Amino acid sequence: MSDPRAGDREEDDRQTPPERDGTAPAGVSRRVFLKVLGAGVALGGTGACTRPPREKILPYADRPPEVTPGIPVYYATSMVLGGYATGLLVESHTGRPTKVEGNPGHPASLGAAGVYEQASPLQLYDPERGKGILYRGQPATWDSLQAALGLAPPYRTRWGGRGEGLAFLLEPTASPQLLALLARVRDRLPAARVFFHGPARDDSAPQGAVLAFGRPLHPRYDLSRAAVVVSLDADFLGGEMPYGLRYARDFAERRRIAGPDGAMNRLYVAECVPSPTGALADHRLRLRAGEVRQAASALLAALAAGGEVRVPGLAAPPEVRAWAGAAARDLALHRGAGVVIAGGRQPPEVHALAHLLNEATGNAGRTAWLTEPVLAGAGPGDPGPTELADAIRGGAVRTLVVLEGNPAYAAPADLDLARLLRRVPQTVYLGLYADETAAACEWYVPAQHYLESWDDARACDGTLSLVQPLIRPLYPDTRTPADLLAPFAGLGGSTQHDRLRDEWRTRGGGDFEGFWDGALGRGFVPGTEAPPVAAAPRWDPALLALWGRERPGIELVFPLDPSVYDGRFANLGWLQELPDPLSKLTWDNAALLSPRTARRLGVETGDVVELRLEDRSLRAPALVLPGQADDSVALNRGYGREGTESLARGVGANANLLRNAAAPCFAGGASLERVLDGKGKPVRHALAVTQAHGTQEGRPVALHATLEEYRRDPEFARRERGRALSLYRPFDYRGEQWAMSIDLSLCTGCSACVVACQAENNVPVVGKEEVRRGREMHWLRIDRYFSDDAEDPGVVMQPMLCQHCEKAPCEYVCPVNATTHSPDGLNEMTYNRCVGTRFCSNNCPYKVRRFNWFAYNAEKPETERMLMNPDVTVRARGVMEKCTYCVQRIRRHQIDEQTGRADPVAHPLQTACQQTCPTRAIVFGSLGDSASEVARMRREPRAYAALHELGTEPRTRYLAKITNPVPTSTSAPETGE
Amino acid sequence: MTAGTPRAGVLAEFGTPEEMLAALDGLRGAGFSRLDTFTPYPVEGVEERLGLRRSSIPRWAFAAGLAGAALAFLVQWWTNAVDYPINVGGRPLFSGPAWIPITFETTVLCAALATCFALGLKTRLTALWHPVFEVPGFESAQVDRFWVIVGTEDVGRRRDAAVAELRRLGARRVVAVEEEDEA
Amino acid sequence: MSEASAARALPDAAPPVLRGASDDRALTDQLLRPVFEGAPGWRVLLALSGAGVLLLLVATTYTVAVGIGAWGNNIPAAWAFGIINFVWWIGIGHAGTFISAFLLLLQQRWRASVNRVAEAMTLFAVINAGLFPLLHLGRPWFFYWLAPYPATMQVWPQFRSALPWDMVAVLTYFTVSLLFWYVGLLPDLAAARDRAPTPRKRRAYGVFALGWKGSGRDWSHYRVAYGLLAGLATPLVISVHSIVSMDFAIAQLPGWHSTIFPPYFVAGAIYSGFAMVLLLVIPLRAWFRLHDVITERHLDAMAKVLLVTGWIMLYSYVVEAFLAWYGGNAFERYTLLVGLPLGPYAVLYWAMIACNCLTPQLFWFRRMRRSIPALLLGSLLIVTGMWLERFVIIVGSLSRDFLPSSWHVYAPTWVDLSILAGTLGLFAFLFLLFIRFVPFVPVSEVKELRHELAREGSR
Repeated sequence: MSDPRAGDREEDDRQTPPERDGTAPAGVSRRVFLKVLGAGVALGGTGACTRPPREKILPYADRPPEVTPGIPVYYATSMVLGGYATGLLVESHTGRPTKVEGNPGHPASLGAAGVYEQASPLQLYDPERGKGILYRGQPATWDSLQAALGLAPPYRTRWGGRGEGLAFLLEPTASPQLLALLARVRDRLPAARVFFHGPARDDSAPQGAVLAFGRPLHPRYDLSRAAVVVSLDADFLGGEMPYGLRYARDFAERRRIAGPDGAMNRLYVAECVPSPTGALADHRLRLRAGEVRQAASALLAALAAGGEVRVPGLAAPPEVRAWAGAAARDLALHRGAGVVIAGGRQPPEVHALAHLLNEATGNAGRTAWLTEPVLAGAGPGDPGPTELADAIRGGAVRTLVVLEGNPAYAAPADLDLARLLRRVPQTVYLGLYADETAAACEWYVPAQHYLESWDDARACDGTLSLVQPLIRPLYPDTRTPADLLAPFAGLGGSTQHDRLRDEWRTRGGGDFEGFWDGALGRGFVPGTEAPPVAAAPRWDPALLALWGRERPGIELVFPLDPSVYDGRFANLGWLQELPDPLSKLTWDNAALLSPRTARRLGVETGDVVELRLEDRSLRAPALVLPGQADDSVALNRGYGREGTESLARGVGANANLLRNAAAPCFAGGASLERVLDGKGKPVRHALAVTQAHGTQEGRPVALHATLEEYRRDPEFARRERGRALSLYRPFDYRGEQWAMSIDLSLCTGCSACVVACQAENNVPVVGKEEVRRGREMHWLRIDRYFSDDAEDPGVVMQPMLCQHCEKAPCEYVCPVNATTHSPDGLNEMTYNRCVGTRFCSNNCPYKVRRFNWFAYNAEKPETERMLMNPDVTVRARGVMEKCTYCVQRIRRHQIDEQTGRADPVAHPLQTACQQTCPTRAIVFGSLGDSASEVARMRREPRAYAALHELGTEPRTRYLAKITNPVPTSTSAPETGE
Repeated sequence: MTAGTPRAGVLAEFGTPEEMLAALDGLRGAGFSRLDTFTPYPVEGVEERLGLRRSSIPRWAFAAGLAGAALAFLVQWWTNAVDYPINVGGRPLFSGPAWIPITFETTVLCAALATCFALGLKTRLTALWHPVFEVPGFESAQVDRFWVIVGTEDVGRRRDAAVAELRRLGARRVVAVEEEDEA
Repeated sequence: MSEASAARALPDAAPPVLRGASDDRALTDQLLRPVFEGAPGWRVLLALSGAGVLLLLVATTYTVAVGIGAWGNNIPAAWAFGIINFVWWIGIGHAGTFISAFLLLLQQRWRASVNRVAEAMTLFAVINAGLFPLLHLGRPWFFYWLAPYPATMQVWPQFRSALPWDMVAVLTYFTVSLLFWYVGLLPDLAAARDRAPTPRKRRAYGVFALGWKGSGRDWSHYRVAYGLLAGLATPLVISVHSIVSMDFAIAQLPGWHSTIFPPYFVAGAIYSGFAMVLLLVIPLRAWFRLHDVITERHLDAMAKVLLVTGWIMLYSYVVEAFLAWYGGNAFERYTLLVGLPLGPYAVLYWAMIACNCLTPQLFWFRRMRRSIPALLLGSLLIVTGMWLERFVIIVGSLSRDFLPSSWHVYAPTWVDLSILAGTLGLFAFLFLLFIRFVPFVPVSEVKELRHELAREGSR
């Protein structure tokens, strides 16, 4: 029988026992952990699962004799995003993964973790994850699915035995075992087609390589050796660029200066949407995304002309000439020690230009080199969603298996995948949530979270990385992409773990077990990064773009969201409530306009505007953001979700509805106008922005100077330091004295620390309305100050957390001794003594105290409670709370020291924010040891205390932000900034 | 004079404070000394004529105030600096100036309480009944009439003399008050 | 503003403090009539205010049930309506003690007929005020942790904070006001006892009169004690609002951190208090036809107090702004010269200036001091203005403090407004009960005053 559904239905009736209805598992209570713990230990020396795993997994540093409740164990694993792996260490408390950190050994992390990695455990415990297999919304079983696909006995002959009409849609991947599996599938079913759809525009880099070198290649950079960095719309310090954590670290090491005579790299950024990278730029060129190519051309021309843009036909505007001239001079000055990076948003031509620029400045092979592509499915030849759409229209697809990625939502609107999927007779979707794609597909299979599944992957540099489960799948019916592919490859019965080991047996030579254990323990295989390849560039004048005189309409830009990425994280409260690094917007996306454009169009922040592109239109609230390019409107992707996820549903506007496959990242020729209601009044939308006021009002809060000024007057911060006059004798502090130093020069505002703090300290999410009221609970926030209200202001990012003042204003006004000072200099908050007068918050000049206005922690879902850090009190209604310098980590460290369990290598004493910071801007330690890094930084001349004149004597000190623009004294007038 | 208001004797009603004061003078001239008055409001000159000494209530108040002050200051000092010394905002453990407000308030509180307590004691408040209340028409003492009482022990065998004297002094009404034993 | 001097200045200008009232008996009966016979429309008013009390109950119950988040407060404005209302009410309370104690020491005769009303107002205002320090706590059920009791946690209160000062001050203030009020009430309760038309009333008042008999000895103690209480209450009333002002002054927040706060707050308290007294006395006077007992003289004198205290306020505003500028502290300067007058609450700020600084200027004119509409309107504006002042000081300063990044506006919720309205209801409710069951004009004192006047007249 060719129509499987009849059979399926009876199978459903037969094979859907009531207990398989996809409800939460029972075995998550603490008692059950401990019960199964013994079993876990007996079974393989680890209890890192709610139910003991059959397979053996290994803890990171060394195998503990047993899991002691209350003492966390760390395991190495990897998180894959955009196809690339980032190595992680996961903290596990009695079998529950509670916190993610970067894996210090892993080249893509070096110990840092980003916003997405930090928030990933919350997704594991998300109560709204798909729990059971669904057939047209009705509970179904794996077997019925297999039967429907003709993969279970009795085998039906499907797809002519060769796979005609069978198609797979995957995200671009570098997972060796998945690719091997895919190869097997292709062997058995040669006619089956495989399509790829990724969140980012992964193909423009390889295609740029094709333009520049004639074949697809993968660009790599070493920023630790670059004195001059030129970014062509590349946000390599922000979250979403692959390898961003590593680039940020390398960049920071060249950025950090110990004193006025230190050396510092220089950063040129040409970008459209203000980004963390732009915030750190020494020379930021603000221009439309579509003009970056022209800027790159100007830069190339400037190089050719030795710093002056004189190539006819490249009559660029003066600010572009100035920028390009300065950059060209610097690149020429630092041959081999500069680098030009093109952003993923940009078309292949810009990448090609970047390659050529690196060649021209002798950086190729030094700071920038090429490897064979790491990612499969992102190359020029690989069929993408467009091809899939055509195939479906052509009726060539009868069975489609979609493996993650939620294409029905994320694909450009002009492909209309959501509707096309419904045309395919048989569709299967594997995803974490029953989202838009699940709704469009016949079958839905809940996916496993990476913290509960086996897998392997490659980092952006090719390093082979392992994904090992921290916990047995919370929901038995969940599957991995490989689980779904295996039956097609004839490996129906096998488990993911076996397949993985089989695939890996080919590696590691003789002692496989030793190799395997080592890889598991470390989380990756050292020395497996892709080797550089040589390639001769081809000069093609057609790459150069002449400066367009006319400016066609409004340009629309669709960045990946720094919080929810392409929408896959949209159901995570932590990320929805995480302020955007620049706009400080939460629980929304908005059409970003430059002040000038806003004035021209008569639009104000909060007005609902209608964006039109071709025949499509979309309504979104406007937000005026200095630094945004004129006549260019940015609308982040990842919002306007319509799946079953309650937090994500209906938040923001779906930018994908405006994208088209041809130009998925930005497009010109759009229009924008205010939406008026019946009475002709503008329709307004309430935005929840956490920082209403942009500038510092000239107050000594976040100090800033150029390197030139710093050298001229190293003591420029003198007024904001030193002992303030006081009536009181200084308190006599002995022994360990905790303190923190934050280097504003290195803070990109990426906000990884904010999420890390939230995860470490059980900080609740309060929701949009509460944020609008001014009740967000973040212990650590990042203040973003514009140098002025101009169109293109400088930006200073300042992480603001409890300053742990020695003369704390909050303490002496507390009537009940609920906030007092510890002998080692911590400003301590005693929750159970607090009656909630809130006088302390009123008297805190930094306003870093947070109050539990409601019982924010009441009725947490059972699963989310598993995420809570057992070392940190969950605060009750009506009490004050604030940053504690991660006192739980301090005390655990001291206990470990006394019990000799301390392991400074595996986990030195670090606060959560410090540990995750990609640029190591945050340093924590004891002043008792004058050699400590924190003490050394305090002695730097640019170290100062925020609001020093108040005499609060904060233990948290800031190092004034130093930027390194071209010294005005040496710059020619026309390139002067 | 130590004895309180006479509980029995001869009671006389006068129309105005002036008549009453005159009567007091007359009675003292006639050798009566165990006297007291009942008036709707304090009348100037009664105290001298009754030979009352200045009330001792202020002394009570002063003592209580001092005690309160000492108590308050000691409690604050002991709790914050001695029993549970803890670093609060780098402030010295002995924060004398910060303890003055409570010390002052407690002083006032104790003094006021002592004042009222003493008043109640000295005027025998909460003793709802007094023999003179039994005298018909005595209510006027709280309204517009001014009464004088001559104590029994003073009247002694000279009751008629006292009555006659009061009449002569223009009393509108003269009544005898006897103390019941059960009262 | 001693009335004697005023009288000398313009002999014809000072109307008598007491008029008519043929004899003591008539006077007594007139003043006791409301207590024994009630008043027209009393039940209606009581029902109305009762509704307010109900609203208060609902709003507070809701707050305690779900949490202080039901209010509009946020970070940075962690204090708002709760503390505003607290300061406003306790400020109003101060006029009562001021009239009854301070003016007694100054031997201002005109105080006699209004002091009981003023004292009652004090009590009820303090009751209202006392609600808020409780309600605004995150965990109200632990309020007693502010008191030094031997707790199992072995922790004590922290007496460097102004909040324990505040608690002690308010409790002391309430207790002393209550005692003072009751002591003053004794002779009148006795009078009510002896004039009571029915045995039940006689018994009731008899109990409350505590057996007062008014003997010469009693009176000699009584006068000393009463004077003593007045002497204690006078510095108390000054200290209480000084301490209330320290709830702000000890903080380092620009707009709070100011040494002129204590005198400035005390003046403001008396200012709003006298306005409230007028708002109570004028209707009362019409309601019970007390024009002979509460004469234009009283109104005139109180209007003069408003004029004086109003000028003190005006002066304080100017000095505060001047010192902010002269002191040269950038934060102070911003808050007082930009943040408040031009910030998000600029409208309220200028409304406050108008109400508190312009209104009292009316009372330069004798006609205004004696015109009922002018007095009522003026008092209303002043009471409103003083509420606005507390809003500006508290919310205005908090919403824009040191770090511009944390600036955030504040807006009240329906619960905030209900609680404010509710306390007004409770106040009216208690006051109505008071005028129904307690002689609200001091009978004995008025009779004494009449007697003195008569003596002077005859002399």
